[in-house]
Amino acid sequence: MFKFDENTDLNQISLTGVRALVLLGLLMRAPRTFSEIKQTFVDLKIMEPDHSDDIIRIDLNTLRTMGCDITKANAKTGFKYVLTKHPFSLNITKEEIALLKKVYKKIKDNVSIETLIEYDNLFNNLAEYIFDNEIKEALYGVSALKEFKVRELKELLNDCRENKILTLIYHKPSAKEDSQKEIVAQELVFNNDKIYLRGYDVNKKESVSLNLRRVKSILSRVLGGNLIDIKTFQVRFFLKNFGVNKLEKNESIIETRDDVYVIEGNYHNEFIACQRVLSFGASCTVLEPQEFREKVIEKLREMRKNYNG
Amino acid sequence: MAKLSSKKNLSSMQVLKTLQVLLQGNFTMQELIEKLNKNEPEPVFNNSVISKYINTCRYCGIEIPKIHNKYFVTNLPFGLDLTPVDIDLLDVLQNIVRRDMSSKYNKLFDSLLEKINRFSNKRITRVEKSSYKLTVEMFENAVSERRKIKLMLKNGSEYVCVPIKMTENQGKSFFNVFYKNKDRTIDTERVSGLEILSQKFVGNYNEPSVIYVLRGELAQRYSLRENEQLLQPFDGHTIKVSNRGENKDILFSRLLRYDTDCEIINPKPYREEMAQIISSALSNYGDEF
Repeated sequence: MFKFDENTDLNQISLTGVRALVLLGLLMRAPRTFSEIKQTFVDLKIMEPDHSDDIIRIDLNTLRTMGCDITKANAKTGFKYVLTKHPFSLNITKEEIALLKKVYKKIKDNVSIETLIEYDNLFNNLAEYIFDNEIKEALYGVSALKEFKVRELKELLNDCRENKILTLIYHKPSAKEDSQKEIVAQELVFNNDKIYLRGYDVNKKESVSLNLRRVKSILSRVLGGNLIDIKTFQVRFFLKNFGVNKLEKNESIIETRDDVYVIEGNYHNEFIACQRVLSFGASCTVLEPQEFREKVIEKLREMRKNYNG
Repeated sequence: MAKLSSKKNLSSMQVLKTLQVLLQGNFTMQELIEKLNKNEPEPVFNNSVISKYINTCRYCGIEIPKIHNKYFVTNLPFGLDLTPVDIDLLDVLQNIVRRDMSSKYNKLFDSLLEKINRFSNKRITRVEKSSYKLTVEMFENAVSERRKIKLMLKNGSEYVCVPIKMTENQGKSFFNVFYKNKDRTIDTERVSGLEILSQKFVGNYNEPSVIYVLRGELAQRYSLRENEQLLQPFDGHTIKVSNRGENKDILFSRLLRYDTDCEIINPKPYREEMAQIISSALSNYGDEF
């Protein structure tokens, strides 16, 4: 951790001060036994091997006087000195964590998994410098990915980029047994605190959206998904009074009339298409396919019934 | 004789106290003396002992350059290394707080950022011949990350500016920056410190200034943007504006909206391109030369 500047004139520094800084740094990194501390001091030539052990005890007292909480080295701590709090740590308050959570909540549903991973890294990085365990845990808890293994997510993102065919075991709550699926990985989507793997079921020849929590294991990942003819569900609809920059990447404007757009969207399946067009509310009118248009009308009628009952 | 458990090393305590105060902000030696002696029963800190304690910290790898007569803790072996991505993420969160939340929350978030900033390793360097390579590297990093910089001049003034490039002329090195809507070329010998700020800049400042004339009512009510400078005030008919750093497509699209009330004067290729756009638009309606 500490790299001494060998050009320094040792008369111009406080050697006991050096020991205090080194001891602080050592304990910040990890709990240490008395002999580990002594060995480091000797290795760094800031203590002679035959010097009294009391030097280290006084150094520990010095840190304690400066506001460091250092436990006793006893059986309970594995005979190690544990630094639990110190005045040089990042002292974030509970109120500040609560605010961080509140602000993060405002964006987490509108950013990509990649960005959520970046935030997860940031929170973890900050937490490493916090000594108060309660605050540290609270900071870990801010991330929307706290219950996911980031390494696995990164691997899946790579699978999606390369459209790999994944053979996986999936648990459907309504089914008695887990099933094996072959899926062309296309996209990871974060929605309502869940992550979905969107892809194409090679055997059923349909698009699927799998809750990642229900993927029990991935047995294999092979290239070649881009050679499979993937069918999507295509919908055309009118859209008015809507910021076109909020369109998804699978949607495109095919015609513009004043502030009304004709949008063509390609969705993984009919269900997702229906959710999407309903989300536009009164701004959207489905044009085709006719069958889907009727289904949406029927859906809206059913929704109205809820309010008329 | 005092019990071992109550023995402590005063010199070590003073080194730690010095570091604690240095982590609170950037202070001159006099300010450090005042702050450190404030909590002592009698003054024990003076110029010589504080210098010794700062050297002790430096010996242990804590970087404490002296810039503008002030001491800056720029790098701690146990400090937090924020990546440019981390800084951007915090920036996004801060913008949301600024935009959507009350002043109480703004204050709280500022306090959080201040703590993080205090504890994180800074990107500050002392500008001098021996650290020239590092200065160039930091300046170029700021350009590529599109972050503003703070130049601390030897005369005590500070420029928060957009870095453009470093140039050399007759054996001297210069910072080419954009400051208060003007290009400035600052001799590196006039500068004592350079800091990369988290604040980002938009636009491409390597592009030339675009000069245009605005006419009529538009000229009277026109509000200059952050990257614009008024070259000629309203003379009863027109104003002349210089624009630096705005994205070309966005600028052209905006100037087209002003229709006949705007005319690009310089640079010539921009003037010709605008004329070409207008001709092409006319040809959509079958109107050819």
